[in-house]
Amino acid sequence: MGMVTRAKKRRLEEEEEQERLEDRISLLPDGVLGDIVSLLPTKDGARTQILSSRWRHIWRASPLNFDLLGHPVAVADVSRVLAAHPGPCRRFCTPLRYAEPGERSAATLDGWLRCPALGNLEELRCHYGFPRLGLLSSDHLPPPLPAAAQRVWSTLRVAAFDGFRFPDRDDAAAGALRLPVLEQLSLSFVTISEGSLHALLAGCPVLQSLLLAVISARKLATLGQISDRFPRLKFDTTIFQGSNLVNMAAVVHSVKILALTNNHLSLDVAINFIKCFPCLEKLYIRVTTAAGKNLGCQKYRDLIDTLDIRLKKIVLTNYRGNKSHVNFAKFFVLNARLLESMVFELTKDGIPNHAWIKTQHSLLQIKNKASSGARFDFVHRDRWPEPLGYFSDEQTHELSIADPFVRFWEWV
Amino acid sequence: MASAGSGDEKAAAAAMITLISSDNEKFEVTEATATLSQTIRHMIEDGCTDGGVPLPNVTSKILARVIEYCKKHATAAAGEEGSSSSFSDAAFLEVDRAFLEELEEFDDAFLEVDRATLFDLILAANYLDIKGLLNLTCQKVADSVKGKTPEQIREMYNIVNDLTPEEEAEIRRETQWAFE
Repeated sequence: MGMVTRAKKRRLEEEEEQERLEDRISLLPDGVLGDIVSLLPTKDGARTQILSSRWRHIWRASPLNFDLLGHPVAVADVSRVLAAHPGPCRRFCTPLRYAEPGERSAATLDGWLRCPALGNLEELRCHYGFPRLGLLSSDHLPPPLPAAAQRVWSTLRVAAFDGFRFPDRDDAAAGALRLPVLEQLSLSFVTISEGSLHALLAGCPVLQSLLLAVISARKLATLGQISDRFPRLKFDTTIFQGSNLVNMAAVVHSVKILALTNNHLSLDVAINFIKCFPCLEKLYIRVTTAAGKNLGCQKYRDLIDTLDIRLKKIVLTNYRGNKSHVNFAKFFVLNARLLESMVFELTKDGIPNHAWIKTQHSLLQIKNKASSGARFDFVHRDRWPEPLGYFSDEQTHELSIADPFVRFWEWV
Repeated sequence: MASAGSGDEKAAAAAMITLISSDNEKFEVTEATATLSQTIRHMIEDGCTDGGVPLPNVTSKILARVIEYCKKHATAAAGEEGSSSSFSDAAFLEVDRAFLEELEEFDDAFLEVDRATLFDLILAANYLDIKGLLNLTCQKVADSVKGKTPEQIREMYNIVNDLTPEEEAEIRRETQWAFE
């Protein structure tokens, strides 16, 4: 009896030992191994080929996740990676460090986008022309959007471009700006004509989330005061002034969330966006200067009857509480009937005290608010990013989380 | 339908599904929990869940863990829906944030398992087609190999290198950029 028990015990121990030494990972199905490899940085993923014969073909057979942002590869090697992998590529992300001044970077990117591996791309992020003082202070134009990008328009769900010049509407290329499945679009530091922007938005029938930051509107007269250092960095009334935007053929109903930087907190701009995106629920605006000329609500009296404001949430970053800003906010206090929350994020120096907030409440006529359930919060940030610090737009579009723009102030 | 009832009443009224593990243990779960699995969702849609759903590839130990995950995340999904329709509650921002943090903490704690269990969970998530769980568990494995040399990975997971020196040299030549 004792012998049997001992033998049994030994066998159990052996089994345990064997289990400990067993190569469980290589027993996973191909698809799962591919998932794991896809989650690795590009280089780490490719290196798994050498683990064993089981792993030899996994990297090539799984979708490429080519993110150069966190895990850089030398420029010359990018083409080699794309040549080594047959595709498909799920995500292609090139950061600023791959940009060279002028047209050359666009040509490089164009070459990459022509690789078969990038056919059927779902997510394209090109952080290229982050504004450099030298480039922006001159008449230098950002590089054109690579013509090869057209190859992936039909499959892109997520796109982010910064530092590109979009083709004019009259150009043949502009006519091809149709992105039938695009859900998220970020444009920052891009040069785009008014007509092209309209055409672009009209070409994105299922767009859900749009981010616009510091857009330079070429060919348009610029109004208002702009910084001498950034003469081209401008996104304000010039683009959306007047009725042009409203007259565009396609009013975009799908957009629910909009974030933008706005030199002045301009009510005209905001109203035009609301007309363009009638189903907008959340509006985030980062103001860059205290200046502004918003008038009182009288100016908009005629408009109010026709304008259906469905905004539930408004966040004003860098709110100063001056007359122009108060006029802006008051418009929504008095007219946004569905408003649930309005957050005033104050500037670094503006630590709100009770008396100041009380005065603001009175100036904003909060007691006359159109939405009885609305809440108004004044908050202060103790840490501010650089005015034009590098930002990541990824978190801003995350529609899966309750509020994708919670950290809006960090990225513009 | 208990449409006007409280959450508990609704849950009680909701359809229950019986899942049967490979070792014949039965688990009663709500449809909302079960349908996080696409495999089970399809079975429900096809109307073939009467008498329970046999899952011959999943042991009771692993199935219990999988159900724990699905319960938590099904509640999360329901909570999100609820909050978007009624977040006139002043502190909704904070509530959502706290909830997301709680979910993250749950996921972190959920992954505190030995390696054998982790692989069993991956296989179960793959078989049951539970995207969130598969992604979570695969990410854990990916994180564990990230930045490691092939030798370190082999040692870590007992992978036997059966490539010939010639084959190895070929791979290194083809993807030289990855080994620099």
